Amino acid sequence: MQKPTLGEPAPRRFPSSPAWVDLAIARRATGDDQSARSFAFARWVLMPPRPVLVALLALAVLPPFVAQARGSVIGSYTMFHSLSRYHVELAVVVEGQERRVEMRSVAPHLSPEARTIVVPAGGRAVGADQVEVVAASLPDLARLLCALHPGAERARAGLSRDPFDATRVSESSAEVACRNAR
Amino acid sequence: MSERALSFFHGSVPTAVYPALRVGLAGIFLVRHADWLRPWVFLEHHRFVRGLMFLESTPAEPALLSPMISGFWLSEAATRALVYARTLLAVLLLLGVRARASAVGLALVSYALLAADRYRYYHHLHLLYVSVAFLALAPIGASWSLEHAAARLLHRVRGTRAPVAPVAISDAWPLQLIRALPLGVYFAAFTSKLDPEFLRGDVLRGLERFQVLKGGFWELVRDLVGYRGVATLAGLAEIALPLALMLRPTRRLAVVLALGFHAGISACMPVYSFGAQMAVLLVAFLPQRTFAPSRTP
Repeated sequence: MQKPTLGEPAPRRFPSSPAWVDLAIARRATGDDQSARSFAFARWVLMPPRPVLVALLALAVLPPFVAQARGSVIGSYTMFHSLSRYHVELAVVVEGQERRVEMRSVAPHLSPEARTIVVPAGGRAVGADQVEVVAASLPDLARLLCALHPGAERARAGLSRDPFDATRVSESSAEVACRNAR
Repeated sequence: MSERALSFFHGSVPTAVYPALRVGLAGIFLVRHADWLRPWVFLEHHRFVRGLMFLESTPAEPALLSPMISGFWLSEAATRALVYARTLLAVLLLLGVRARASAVGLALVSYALLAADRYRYYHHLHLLYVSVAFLALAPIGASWSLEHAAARLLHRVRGTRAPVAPVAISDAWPLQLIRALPLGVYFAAFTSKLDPEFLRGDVLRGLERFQVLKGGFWELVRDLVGYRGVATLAGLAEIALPLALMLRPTRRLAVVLALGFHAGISACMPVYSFGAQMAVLLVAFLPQRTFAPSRTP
């Protein structure tokens, strides 16, 4: 391999790939262990082995179907496929008595993104995929209630939803024991 | 796996498609994650994004911690640092400075911010981040790059020949992987709509009732084919378009039809930058693969 002179750089053999790929391939002739390793990696970068390509293809295509099969919203690309009414109810148990917690007292403690989804659910909110996000965060909401009500023994966050049909209401809730209970 | 199936990854495409995807996605990223354009045009996300997205109004303590990954929450300082890093990386990606590294960094930082609060999740943001991650596999900095322009200028000033000549063709395998992303979106959207409630048009009726579906174009289409008709057509489009995009003879026609499909959706309902992202990803289907002898050593 002719050594490139200053001002007359050797033309790149693989110009669309990083410069070190060219260098590694050019050094192949020296035959030492290090150049052999970098040559193998350079070749890998130019065209990864078939199993890697197939794995990358699977990574590009399959996750939405896996998410749908698991019933998860995250990564499922379920674009407005359903619509629900939903309502979130928050409560704490203090000295054995259950007390309802107003959504507006919780609102300042929510991120702006959470606020736009959770606060309307103090009444009757309407949503598509965000209902699943609320369902997944019920234990976190219950833990927040514990932090907001130091005297509470337990906290509960409940979600009820229906597809605009009062006979098809489904309910889920999370209840946690508050660590700071006296 | 057969040779025929694996030939899916072989061949070459014009290099220009990769920087075009880079510039398109980085531009959308910068627009979607801030409200720079507010003085000139009001976009849907401006309703809740002030300044840089995720930077505004920290909640009062104790705050709701609801990360996607248990225990993975970010402090206010960490969030702030990542938001600034995200913006810098998006600018570097747009300009083609250390383009592949910028794409990797941008995807990682964006996912970290997304994972720290599950309420930040939107399908189109996830698609944007995964698209940026896949861009890192491609020679996205090969042209339209400030870094290369500066290097060429420096060599011109010094009177030496620029070391990197623009290259006309590149490997097709990264493009094939990028093409798989919108195909996956279409197929997944189709399978999610195989639901009697959706196909009857009930969901569309509800979306209209709550002002999600609105506007003159929606009313025109609804009056023309009805709720059930729109639902059926949407499902059919989401299965026909990817199939037509996969086949060479119908590919370019499918790109045009898909652009119309997304323009129609964007005219009817708030999908944020989703339509624009899909339009950019559809650019990946424009070049034809050629099968010159492999450059792989």
